[in-house]
Amino acid sequence: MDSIIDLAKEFRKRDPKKILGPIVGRVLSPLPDLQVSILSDQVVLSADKLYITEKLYKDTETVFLNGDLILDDITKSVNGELTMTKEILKKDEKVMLVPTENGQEFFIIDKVRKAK
Amino acid sequence: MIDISNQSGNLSWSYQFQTLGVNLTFDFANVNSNKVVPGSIVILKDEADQEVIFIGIVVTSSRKGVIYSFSAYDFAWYLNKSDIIIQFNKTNATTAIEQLLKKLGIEAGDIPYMKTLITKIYIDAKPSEILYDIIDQVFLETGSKYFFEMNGSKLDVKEVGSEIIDASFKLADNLAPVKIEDVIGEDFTFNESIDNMKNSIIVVSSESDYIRILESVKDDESIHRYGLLQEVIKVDQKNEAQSRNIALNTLKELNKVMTSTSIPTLGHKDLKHYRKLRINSSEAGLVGEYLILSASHTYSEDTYMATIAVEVM
Repeated sequence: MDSIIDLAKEFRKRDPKKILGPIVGRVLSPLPDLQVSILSDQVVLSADKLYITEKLYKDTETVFLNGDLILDDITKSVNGELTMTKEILKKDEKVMLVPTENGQEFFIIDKVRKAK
Repeated sequence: MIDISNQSGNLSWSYQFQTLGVNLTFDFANVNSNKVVPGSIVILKDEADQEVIFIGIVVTSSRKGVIYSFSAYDFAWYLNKSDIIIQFNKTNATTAIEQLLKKLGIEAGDIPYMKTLITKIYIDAKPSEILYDIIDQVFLETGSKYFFEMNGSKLDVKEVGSEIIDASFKLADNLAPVKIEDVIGEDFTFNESIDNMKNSIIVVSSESDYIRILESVKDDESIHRYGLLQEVIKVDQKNEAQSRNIALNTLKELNKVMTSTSIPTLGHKDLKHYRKLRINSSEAGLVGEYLILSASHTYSEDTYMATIAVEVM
């Protein structure tokens, strides 16, 4: 009897492992306490389970300015930094997620929307 | 619910340490008077004290000539038949099991307190796989081994070896009961195996950014004797603090020659897996406390027999 069970367990081991593919998530709260839900909010992924691409992470961008700024007929020479702040991932936006091999962590690839 | 206690033949059921539920097979000769069909709930009771031995659902039936044969499983069968999505976030193992059962609509029976914190996402997983995964995590962290058992429609969680069976056998109404050593057969089989032996354990982190070795333990003497048999265990970041325990508990569990003895005996309904049994038979070379790994029961032509597989505790 035991050998039958051993055999059954061997078959079981060879069952194809279910791997979750790319999945669409919904942003529940933006960075820094990022939370994204998947599968109709049945699973909530917190920031410690999420990897994020550089593009989505950059919420501020600093550019160095040195030259002339022309606005209509006003010309002004500038020399300094310009910092722009933007909220990249907003609440209720949709993102594309790809799970890691063990399905316990996810990479946010980009924001997505349904084409039609 | 159909009581098959007094009308079926060739009854056989078994308790196995590697399986979740109990399978009962039985026959009706000549006529299926109870209209037992797949989906019927059947119950088997002890004739003497009316204690329920088995309750479950008939899954398959067949008819060969005038013999109707049935195969039934206890309600743990349902734990293998659905897929479920569930997430635990630093939930202790006891609560995690209760939450899972609630989601399935299965009543929680006796579940001891297990403090191990479970943080995991299960997507399209079988409830049985989740249950095993939870008790595996408890074992790795604490070294305590648990198992599941259906108690009617409730699911109990018990610690391995926590129940001691005092199996006494009544051979006839006018005779005093006898102990198990008086009713074991002679053709028992003693098995030893190193097939699943591991004498070196490495615990690594399972973070996606990089993998690093958190802990490694080994038994040099065993490696010298049997060669290197190594197991690698991946743990989540949250379990890193437990990596030493995980390594030691796994080594303790696997670094041994697995032994089991298969013993034919007269049947007794209390002979079930993961119970402790005292045997005192110097002729059979079985003296001391044993853990029952499996127990197969057969009741045919008014003879109740069982075969148990035990290991030394």
